Amino acid sequence: MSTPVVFPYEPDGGEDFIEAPAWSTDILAGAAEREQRIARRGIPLGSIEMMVRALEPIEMTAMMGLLYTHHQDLWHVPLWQFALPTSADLSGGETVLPVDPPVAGYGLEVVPWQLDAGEPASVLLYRSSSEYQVLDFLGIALEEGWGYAWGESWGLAVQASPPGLLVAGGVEGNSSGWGLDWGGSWGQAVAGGVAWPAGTLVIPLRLARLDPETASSLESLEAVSAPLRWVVELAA
Amino acid sequence: MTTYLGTEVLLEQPNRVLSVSEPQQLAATVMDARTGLRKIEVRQSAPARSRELEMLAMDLGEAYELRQVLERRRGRQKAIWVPTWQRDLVLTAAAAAGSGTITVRECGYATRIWPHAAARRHLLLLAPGGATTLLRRVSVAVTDGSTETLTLVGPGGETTHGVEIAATWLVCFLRLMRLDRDEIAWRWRGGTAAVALPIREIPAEAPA
Repeated sequence: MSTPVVFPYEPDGGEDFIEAPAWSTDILAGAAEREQRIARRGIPLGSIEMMVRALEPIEMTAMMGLLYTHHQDLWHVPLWQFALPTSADLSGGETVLPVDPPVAGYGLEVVPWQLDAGEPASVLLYRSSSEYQVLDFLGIALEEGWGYAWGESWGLAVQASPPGLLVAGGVEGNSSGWGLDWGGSWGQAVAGGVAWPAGTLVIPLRLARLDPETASSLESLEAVSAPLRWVVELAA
Repeated sequence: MTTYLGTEVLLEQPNRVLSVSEPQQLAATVMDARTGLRKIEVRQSAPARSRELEMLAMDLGEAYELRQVLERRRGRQKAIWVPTWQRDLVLTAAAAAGSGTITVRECGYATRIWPHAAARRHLLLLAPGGATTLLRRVSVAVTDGSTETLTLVGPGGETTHGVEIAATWLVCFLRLMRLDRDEIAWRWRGGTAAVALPIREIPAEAPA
């Protein structure tokens, strides 16, 4: 499978962003008034719809060019309604994205990071339509986790790790500042290595194909708007 | 998650800014030779009512709860109890916590509705403000001509209410339903989501 293309343009917040999970059920109506209902799919797929607008010529050409070039490809579509800001700076190589739960009384599970439990998933680290990174989602970090603590006695100990998301590979960033903070816990980058400042958005992604019939409206010589619809797919 | 007789109950109330349409469907076969005689065979003992619930999730926590309910439904596959959220029966007096009956205004429940279908023998009783809810089955219904006395049984066989039921409580039918569409659209605008849930009654599956 080729690498999915990220659609990095934020939708128009004045229009509905529609996420429509779809199951598939066969219903057989029995003679005794009862139905036999059979699930044909264990995971809801469905579709994603959003309105995007480009109001400058460069953005217009870049956005429409992306849709034109990759019309038949597999996409990574962000679920913008679940975008959460990081709560701390991030440096290169880090594998926990620090994100605070968005609602009191709930944890980070309020965001559907995966299409279904056990399904491979990705998240988008996003600053702008030209600064973003796709990361493989591994899970939600707990308040308390196992890690290496470097103190008076060297060895394995329980340490507090910030709540956030566990991702594979680590974030890209300026490796010149990468190192060990000997006064704290293992793995923290020293100052100067910040690649993604606090407030960078973390957004769940869905694999999807663009609807074959995609129309756009040329609003002026320099602006375009397009209602986009994607059909969600499973990872191969 | 609240369950009643082994099936989940949708206790989140729908948004009701506008009036709600609720069509009723009855499966029937019509034989009409256009010679004056017509024969109709009804294949259901009770009609199925359908409705579109307009749910509104005001934040990600509420959206999460509703999403969980819908994921457990697996589209149209799994049943769910849904209250009508109407004042279907009007209490005429308070009922003590140690009592197992309620008294309602005469409306033909005991003589027509209760004997007709098991699908109208399940009730949700809601205290004003929604602080307390009771889920009960009507085991016996009798009328004296002006009021009707309903004997209630809890899902665990409880024969008393356990709490005092004031005359101001809402008493509505609890109907066994399922989603009527496999695809459910979440319309997000900012941090809130509107979800239209088409639901359809499955009266034949309601326990007696």
